[in-house]
Amino acid sequence: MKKAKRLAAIMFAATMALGTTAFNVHAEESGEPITITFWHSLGAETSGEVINEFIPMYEAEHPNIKIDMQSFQSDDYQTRQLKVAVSDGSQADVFHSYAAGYSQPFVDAGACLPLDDYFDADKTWDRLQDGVLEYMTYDGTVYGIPLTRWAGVLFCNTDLFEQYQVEYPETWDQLLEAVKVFRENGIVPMCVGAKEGWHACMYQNAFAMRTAGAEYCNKALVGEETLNTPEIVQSAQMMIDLKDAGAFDEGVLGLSSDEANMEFMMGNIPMYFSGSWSAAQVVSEDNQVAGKIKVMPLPTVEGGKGNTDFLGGATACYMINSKCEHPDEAVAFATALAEYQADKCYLLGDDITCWKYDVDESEVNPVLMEINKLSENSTGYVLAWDTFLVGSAIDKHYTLVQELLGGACTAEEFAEKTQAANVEALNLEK
Amino acid sequence: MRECAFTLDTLRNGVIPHMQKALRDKKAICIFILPALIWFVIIAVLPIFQSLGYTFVRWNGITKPEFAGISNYIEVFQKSIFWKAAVNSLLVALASVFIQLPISMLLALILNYGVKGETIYRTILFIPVVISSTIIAQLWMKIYHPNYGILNTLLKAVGLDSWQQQWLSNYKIALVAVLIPMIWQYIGYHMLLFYSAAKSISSEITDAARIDGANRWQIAFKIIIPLIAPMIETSVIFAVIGSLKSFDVVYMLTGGGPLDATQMPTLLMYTEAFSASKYGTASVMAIFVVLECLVFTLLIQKSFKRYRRE
Repeated sequence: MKKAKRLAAIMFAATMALGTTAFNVHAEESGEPITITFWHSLGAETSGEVINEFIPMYEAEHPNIKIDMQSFQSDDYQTRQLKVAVSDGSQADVFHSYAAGYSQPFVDAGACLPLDDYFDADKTWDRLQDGVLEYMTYDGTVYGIPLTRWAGVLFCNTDLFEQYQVEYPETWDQLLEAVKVFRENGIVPMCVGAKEGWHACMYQNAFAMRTAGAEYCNKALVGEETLNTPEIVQSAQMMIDLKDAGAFDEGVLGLSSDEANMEFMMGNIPMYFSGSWSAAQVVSEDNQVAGKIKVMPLPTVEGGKGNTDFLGGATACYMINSKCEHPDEAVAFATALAEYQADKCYLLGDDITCWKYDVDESEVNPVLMEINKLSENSTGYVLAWDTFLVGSAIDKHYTLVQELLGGACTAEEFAEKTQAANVEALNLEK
Repeated sequence: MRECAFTLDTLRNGVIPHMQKALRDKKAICIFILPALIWFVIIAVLPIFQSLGYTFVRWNGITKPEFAGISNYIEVFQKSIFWKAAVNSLLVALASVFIQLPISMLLALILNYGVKGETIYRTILFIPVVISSTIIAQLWMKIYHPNYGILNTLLKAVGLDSWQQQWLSNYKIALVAVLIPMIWQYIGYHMLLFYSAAKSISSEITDAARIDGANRWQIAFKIIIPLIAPMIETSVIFAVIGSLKSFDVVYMLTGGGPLDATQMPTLLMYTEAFSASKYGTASVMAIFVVLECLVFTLLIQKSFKRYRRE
């Protein structure tokens, strides 16, 4: 047995020794050229392709720089992989992240590089649109290089509206009337899949923005004000009213966002409140709704404090690992990519760019252009709550909206419990 | 059976003396199992103890953990949703033992009795086991789809419109709807275990019984089932543990919804850890599931003890 132990020990030592030498050799060899690791979860579609096209161009321009890119599946990256990696600082030099509450723990843990000095040196500030850094600024310091911003609008299927001679809803009452008419004709009026909470939350969040105003929501979500107000109760009640009026599919709680989305794209549902990210899909010739889309702001609410506000904002961004060995090069690469990608994606209709753009607008996806125009007059923005909320409050919020749709909670309980969950999660974060 | 006996005989007679010598050398045994043991300890045993450590801290996975005493345990055990999830997983376990295993046993006995096309049936019944759970979930999602699903379409076709359901969205029946694929998925697995165990019973025994006038049922219940009791025990353990830690199919079919009707401890653990970033409470749930599995394994082993002695 003793011999066996000794043998095992020697083997262990040998493995470790081999491991370290291998590592050293690698480090010495790299010498001059620089490798920048880069993670994103922007998929293989539009953004992913733009990135793939940019990297060889960038490497050709900077012969000493090599970009080591890894692309991840979005959900898994967002909920697990990135968080796990950040916990020991092993995330890539440049990594795709999300603003507001999502990256708060990263910044708190010192995992992200402060960017103000780089922005000063490069005059990045001047090239960015106004207000896009709001959610990437933590305690007055900027940590994110923004990519795109989004805005929530009501997508309407003009075919169905014309067929049943329904007025496009500009106010809440008109919306209820539209729901009624469509229901009478056996059509599911509004598209939502509440199996995953976020899809249903978009509606409630947007109603809350109408009733309470974007400015108030922004404050309340970070804990500076309470979410337990009559306005939030009203937003929850609007969800209940819509449900009771038959606005949603009967099986809404079991419907995934993808399934619901598909129904709209197949031309079966007249109204869909979604982000500008849907613009690319609705003009795609693969879908029956191509060319039959009218976008409009969410219906206004009488007496509401945010009738000209928009749900949305800049959330997608690149962040730099604070442990990065070559921060200058990493920031330069991330900035160049973000600028290129944002313009390109705007052109392709993926989302609205955060940068002052120089693209031929006649080539931009018409639906996205329309959304951009609508949102230019916006008086305020508030992100979807799940990007704002931290920790356990996110799931609690999802569950509560699902309960509203399932008739398992009242509007008052909703406001009260959401506030309680937010306070609890914020305290825990501190 | 015969092949197996042959191998043992050859070993006993010392036809392969080297191997026999090697088997007697305890040092050699230790060295050979060491790599596997180290691996097992690193990937299975250590994480359990690590998780145990996490149950006593408040930690979001990123910043520094803070000692929290037993507050995580109190928090988890005070959650009604956690107990609901635990009950759900127990229901799944009960259904596996009392619905899945009897069906598997019945199929195994039928195959063992010898039907035409035995191999084909065996293969067909085993197919769900080798299909990935993701595909199974997708398949059943399509079956249950309220508008286009085969189930509702079929009910409509035979005039049973009123039986049509929002199978996965109705919180009253969602758990049953989720249970069915979970049971269906592993019927073939347990069937194969029972079948191979039954096959290994010497035909001399069953022949003798037949000569004594035993009928098919008597042979099945008085001879085959008692003789394969050790395999049944293994199957029950697998079924119960598998149910208690079931995750994949439920996660994809309903995600624990609607309104937590199909919530499972493992699903809660996942959301607690990865979306709520509360590793402390998530670890409590993990430890709970581990202990639950251990306790049930011991209980099952105990209740099967008398069969093993015989």
